Amino acid sequence: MNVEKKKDGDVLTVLIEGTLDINTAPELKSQLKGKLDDVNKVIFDLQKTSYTSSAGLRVLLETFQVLHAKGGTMSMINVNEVFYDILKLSGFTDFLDIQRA
Amino acid sequence: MKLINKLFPKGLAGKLIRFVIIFVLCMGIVFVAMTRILIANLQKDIQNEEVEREKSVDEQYIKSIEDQSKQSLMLLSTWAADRTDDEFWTLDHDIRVLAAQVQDVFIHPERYERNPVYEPEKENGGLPSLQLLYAGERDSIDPHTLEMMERLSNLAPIMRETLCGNEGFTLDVYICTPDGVTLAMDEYSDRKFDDSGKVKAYDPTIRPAYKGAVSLGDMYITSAVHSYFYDFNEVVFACPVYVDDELVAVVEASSQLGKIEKMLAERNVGEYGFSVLIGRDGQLICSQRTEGELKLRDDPEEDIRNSVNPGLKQMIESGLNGENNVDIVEVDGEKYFAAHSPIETFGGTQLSFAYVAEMTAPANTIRMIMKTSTVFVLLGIENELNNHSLRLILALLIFMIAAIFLMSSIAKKRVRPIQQMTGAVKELVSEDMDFEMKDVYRTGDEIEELAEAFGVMSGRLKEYVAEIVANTAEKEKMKAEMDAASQIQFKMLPSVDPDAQASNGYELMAAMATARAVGGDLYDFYFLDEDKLVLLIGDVSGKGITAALFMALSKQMIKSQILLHRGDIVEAMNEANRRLCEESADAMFVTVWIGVLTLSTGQLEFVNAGHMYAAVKRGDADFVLEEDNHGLLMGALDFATYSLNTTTLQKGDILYLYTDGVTEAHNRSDELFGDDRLLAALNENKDASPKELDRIVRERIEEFCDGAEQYDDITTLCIRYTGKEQISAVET
Repeated sequence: MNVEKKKDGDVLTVLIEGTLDINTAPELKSQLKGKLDDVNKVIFDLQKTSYTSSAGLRVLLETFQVLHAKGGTMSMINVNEVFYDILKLSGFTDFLDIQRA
Repeated sequence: MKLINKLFPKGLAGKLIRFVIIFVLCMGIVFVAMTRILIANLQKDIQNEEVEREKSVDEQYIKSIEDQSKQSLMLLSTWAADRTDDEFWTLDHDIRVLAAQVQDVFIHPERYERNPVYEPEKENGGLPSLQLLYAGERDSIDPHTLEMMERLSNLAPIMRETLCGNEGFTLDVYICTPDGVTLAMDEYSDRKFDDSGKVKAYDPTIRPAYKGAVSLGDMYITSAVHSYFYDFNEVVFACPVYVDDELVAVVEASSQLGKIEKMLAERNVGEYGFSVLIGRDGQLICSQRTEGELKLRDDPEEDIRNSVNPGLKQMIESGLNGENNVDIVEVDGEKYFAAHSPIETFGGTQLSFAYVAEMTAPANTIRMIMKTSTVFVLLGIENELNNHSLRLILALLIFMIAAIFLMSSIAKKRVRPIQQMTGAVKELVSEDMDFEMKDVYRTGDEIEELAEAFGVMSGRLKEYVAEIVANTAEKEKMKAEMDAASQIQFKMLPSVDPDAQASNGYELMAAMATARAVGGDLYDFYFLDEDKLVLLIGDVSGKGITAALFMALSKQMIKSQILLHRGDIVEAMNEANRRLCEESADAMFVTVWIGVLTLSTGQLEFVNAGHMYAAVKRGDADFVLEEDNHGLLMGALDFATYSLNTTTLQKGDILYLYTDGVTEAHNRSDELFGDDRLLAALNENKDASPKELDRIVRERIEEFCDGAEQYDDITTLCIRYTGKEQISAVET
């Protein structure tokens, strides 16, 4: 997995390349650690993210919880079919701003 | 055998010795080969030099010999020709003097007294004596001729002088008249008789010398002609005498050919050298050759230029032209140096021949000596080499044996510390891991370093072992605790009782296979009242202890809320979620499918909190994933709410619930088992019992994974709705 972060004002765009699973999720978590303090919106660009396990979902959820607590928002863009199905199964689609690829 | 074992020990020492043997052998072979090559080169050099020397002998020495030979031959030839010419000139001169005297007698006969002349007498043999020779009878001689002969006898002293004053070169002196009478002066009176004792008849006018002189009108020299009286060949000088242009006599003198040949032979060069005399018309007067091109001809007048080879012919012509020259010509196919010089007396030429091979023989000898010496040098080298080869091989053998003994002892000495160390290390492995530094290891090289390293290693090993022992104890303890936890967790899950099910109108099978000791999945089923069966399956995010704890918490939380809300599962789930969010640390969450099946009617109410869709088989149709109204997984957001799904199962319909450990089971190529394979497995024998269905699915997953390690728990809950009445009917 490869993570690219781009900050524009209080908007942080995170491009995730690869698979989010039990092995890679901790890295994403550590990459985001402390980066959310002065951010009001996080956009996950998932055009190159093929799949996520529940471990990946946990990191996304944690991020959402942090932002939600301070009134921020989180969105996912370029979400592929498989990824969307997982989000839908997990019930995230009702709460998050998700744009399919 | 013992010695061999001692010399070639096993292990490192043996290898060292074998290496030395091979090394020494290779060195020996290389050395012998190098020597051979060097010698071969040397031999080649010597041979090349020999060829060069031979060439230089040819070029320098032979050429110089040739030049010298030619020069010498030329000088000799000129001198010899001069000598011959001198002899002939003397004779020529004497005859001319005699001829002048004879002419005087014919012009002034009255000045010369008549003296009686006689036929040859035997007793005069050996003395110079005057003899009258004729053909026929003495009476038939013309009286005038006889008178002239009587007067000519006054010239006897001059004739004798001519005969004797020439060192035997002159054989006889004749004065012949045209009517065939001869006055002769020679020492052979006794050799002119025939078998009957009579003097042989002699007619000079038919002899070649007379005819030649008359026809030439001047001094004529014959080729070699056979003597009339004697059995040898002679050369005759004949000079005509005229009085008032009338031939009155021919004065002749002959020279025995043998004598001329002897004179020529005295001037021959070398053993095979020879000389020839050639007359002015190319006739061969005198030759020492008895065979071949320069053999005396049967016809003395034959011009040999017509029958000799071109080179020789050219040489003869050049000689007849009065030139001096020297060159190499062939005679009968052999090479000769030939020099020609003119004999002016009779316009002929004398050719001296020297055999080229004989002249250059010294050079050939030198060449042969050189060649022989080269061969000897080469043979010597070969011999030396052979002798030394033996010695070399012997020396190599001795060297090898010495090297083997030496290496054997050195290797053993060198290897001893290693052997001891090996023993010590072996003990170290089996015993107390003590490695003691000993003096035998202090070799001052890598062995000592190795021993020191072993010492350090043994110390560290001891520490590690102690650590590992401690850790292992700790881990064993942990494992024991985890086993206990695992047992507790499994006990928390309800056990499946087939007997209880059958009478209640359903068949149920539930199982959890954990990836680790404790799992994060959960399933549950219990009766709310006699008719309502609660079914639950869930999956906690994360693994291990934390997941297991959260799983236990979630299970109890949901169950207590269900019981509290008396079957209102939506309200129960909403409340359970809020409470779980409060309890959830580190963004733990759990997906839950929970349903209440009314066994009497088959009505199924359920809530799906972020869990997988259920696989359902209705009637004769295949298993399909039935989409539902999804809610958010639990423990994520406290404001999440859930909505109710309602459906009805007919008798025989099967509900198959599972966690994502099923569909996300993966093989070594990281392919996922997936929905399609799951449905295919279920539909293999779709009417089978839940237990059998579960067995098939798990078997397919195992086949698919083919030993790949699984990260996730695999949990399933499968129920077949059979209907209460039916079962009762069967029972009654």
